[in-house]
Amino acid sequence: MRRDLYDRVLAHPQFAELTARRNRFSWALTLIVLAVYYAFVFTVAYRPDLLGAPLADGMTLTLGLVGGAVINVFCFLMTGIYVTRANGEFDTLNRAILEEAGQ
Amino acid sequence: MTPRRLATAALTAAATALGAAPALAAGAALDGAVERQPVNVMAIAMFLVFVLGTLGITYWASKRTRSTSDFYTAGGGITGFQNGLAIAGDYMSAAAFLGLSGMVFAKGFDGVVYTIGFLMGWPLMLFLVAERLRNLGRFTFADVASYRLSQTPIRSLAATGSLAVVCFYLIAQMVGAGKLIQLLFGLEYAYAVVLVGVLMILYVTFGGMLATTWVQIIKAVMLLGGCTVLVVLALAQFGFDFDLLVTKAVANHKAGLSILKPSAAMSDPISAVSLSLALMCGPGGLPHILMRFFTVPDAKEARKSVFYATGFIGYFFILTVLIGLLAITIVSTNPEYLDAKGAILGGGNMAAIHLSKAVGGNVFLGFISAVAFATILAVVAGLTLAGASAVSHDLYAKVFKAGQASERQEMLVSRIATLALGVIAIVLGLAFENQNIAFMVGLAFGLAASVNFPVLLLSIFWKGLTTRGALIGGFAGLVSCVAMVVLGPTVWVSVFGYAKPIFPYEHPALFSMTLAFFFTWLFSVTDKSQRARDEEAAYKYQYIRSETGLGAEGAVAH
Repeated sequence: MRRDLYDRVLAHPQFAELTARRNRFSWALTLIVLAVYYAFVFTVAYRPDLLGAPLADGMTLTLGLVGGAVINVFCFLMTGIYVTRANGEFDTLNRAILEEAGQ
Repeated sequence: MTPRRLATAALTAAATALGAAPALAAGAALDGAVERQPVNVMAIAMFLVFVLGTLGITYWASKRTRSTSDFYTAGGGITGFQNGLAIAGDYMSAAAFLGLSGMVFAKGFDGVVYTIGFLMGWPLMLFLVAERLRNLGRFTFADVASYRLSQTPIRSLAATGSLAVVCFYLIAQMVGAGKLIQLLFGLEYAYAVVLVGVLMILYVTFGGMLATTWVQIIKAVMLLGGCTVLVVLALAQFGFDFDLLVTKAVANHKAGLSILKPSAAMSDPISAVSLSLALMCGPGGLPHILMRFFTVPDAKEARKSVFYATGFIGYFFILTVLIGLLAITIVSTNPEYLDAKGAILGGGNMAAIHLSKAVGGNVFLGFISAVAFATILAVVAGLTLAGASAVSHDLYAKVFKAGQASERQEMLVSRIATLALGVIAIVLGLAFENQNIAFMVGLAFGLAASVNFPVLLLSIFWKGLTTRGALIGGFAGLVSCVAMVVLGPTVWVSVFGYAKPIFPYEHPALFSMTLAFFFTWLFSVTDKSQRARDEEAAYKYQYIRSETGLGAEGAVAH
C-alpha cells in the first residue's frame, strides 16, 4: 500500500467534498426509506383497520394492498435515484480526485 | 371435446378457461389416488432438461475456473445486470416463492407484510453497504470485517457466523426439496435429498462461482417468466380486474374480510419491530448474498447490481402476492385440489403449484414444478459456495496458514470443503425429514442480522471498532440469538412440546441485535490496548479505500 498516495487523496480538497456530498445523499435516502417502512410497520401494529380500508367507496381493493405495491415501486425508484447520481456525478468527481492525487 | 362439453366441464372445474382439457383429464386420473402423487413425467422431463443444461454450463465454467479468484468470484467479470439477476435468484428461494404465496393464500395480508420487509433491506444495502463492500473486500465479507482488525479472531468469528447461517439455511432447503419432490414428482424423499446434494456438489466443485452464478441467472429468468405467465393466465379469468380479484378472494376465503388486514399476531408492536429488523438487516449478513458483490469489477457495477436486483425482487414479490390471492378463488373452490376436510392437498406451500395446474394444465404444472425444484438447487449451490469459502479462504488460508497458503492448496481445500458441506447437508437433510424445521430459515436470518451484519456495518462506519469489541459483540449476538430461538415459541413449544415459551417472541432480532451492538460498543470503547490504538489509526486508510475504491481488487482478465 502506498501511504503517500492515500495521504494525497486525503489532503485533496475535493475528497472531503465528495464524501460529505455522497454521505449526505445516501444517509438522507436511508432515512426516507426507513421512515416509509416504519410508517408501514407501525400502521400494521397500531392501525391495522386502516390497511383493510377500501381504496374508494364501493371497492373491495384496499389501501393496504395498493400501498404495499406502491412501497415496492418506491424502493425500486429510490435505488434508481441513488445509482444515477452515484454512478454519474459522484464517480466523475471520484475519478478526478484519484487522477490528480496519482500525479 | 366439443366446445359445449368443454364449457360445461370448465364450469364444474370452477373456471379454468385456459387449459381446461388437460386439467380435467388429469383430474380424472387422480380420482381415488389423491394421497400419493403419481410420477409426474412432464415435470421430471422439464427438470432433466434444466439439469443437463446446467451441467453443460458447469463443464464450460470448469474450463475457466483455474484460480481462487475464478472459484470465489468468477474472476470479478460478472456485469451489474447479470449480478442483479443472480442476487435476485439467491433471494427468491423456494421458501419465498411457495411459502409467501402460501401465506397470502392462508392468511391474506400477513404475507404482504413479509414481502415488504424482505424488500426493504435492498435500498439500504445499496445506500450504505454495497459499494463499500466491493471496494474493501476480495472474496468474502470477512475480508472487509478484518480489514484493519486482527485476522485470526475476526475471521474466525465471521466464518462461524457464515457457517451457522449456511447450515441452518441448507437444512431448511434440503428438507424442503425432499418434501417438494414427493409432492411434485412422486419420487422418494431420500432420492430428492441425495440428488440435490450431488448436483450442488458438482456445480460448485467444478464450476465454482461462474457456474453457480449462471445456474442462478437461468433459474431467476425461469422463475420470473414462469410466475408472470401464471399470473397473466390466472388474472385473465378475472378480466384483469384487481377489484374483482379481491372481492372474490374475500368471498371465497373462510376468514372473509379479515384477510385484508394484518392478523393479531402481526399487530404486537415488539414482534412487528423485531421481525422488521430481521427481514431488513438479514440480507446485509447473508454470506452467499454478500459474496456476490465481489463478482463484479467495481463499485459502479456493484451499485447497478442492487438496482436491478431490487427491481426483480420487488416484481417477484408483487407476483407472489397475486398468486396467493388468485389461488384463494381458483384453487380453494376446486375440489380437485382439496382433501375430504376441505384443506388444500399437500399443505399450505402448494397454492402456487395447484394454481399452475388449474390455469395451465399438466404441461404448465410440470414447468412450475421444475422451476420450484431448480430454485432449491440454485440456492443450495450458492449457500454451499459461501460456506466453502468461509472454510477455505477465512479459516484455512488466513487463520490456519496465516495467509501463507498457496493458490493450489487453497483451491484444494475449497473443493474438499464443498464436498464435506454437501455430505453434511445430505445427512442432515435425511435426519431432519420428520422434524419441524419451520424455525430454521428464521434462525438463519436472525443470525445473519445479529452476528454478521453488526460486525460488517461497524467495521465499515465506526472508526472506534476494535478486535475485542467486534469479537465479544459478535459472539453475544450469536449466543443470544440461538438461545432466544431455542427458548422461544418456534422451538420450545413447537419442537419440544412445552406448553409455554420461556422467551415470548418468535423473532429475537430486536433483542439479539441490540445486545450485539451494545457489547461491540462497550468492549471497543473500553479497549485501551496498543492494538486498539493501531486499529483506530488504520481506519483512515480503510476509509479512503472504502470511499474511493483506491487499491481495490479489479477484475481478472481472461
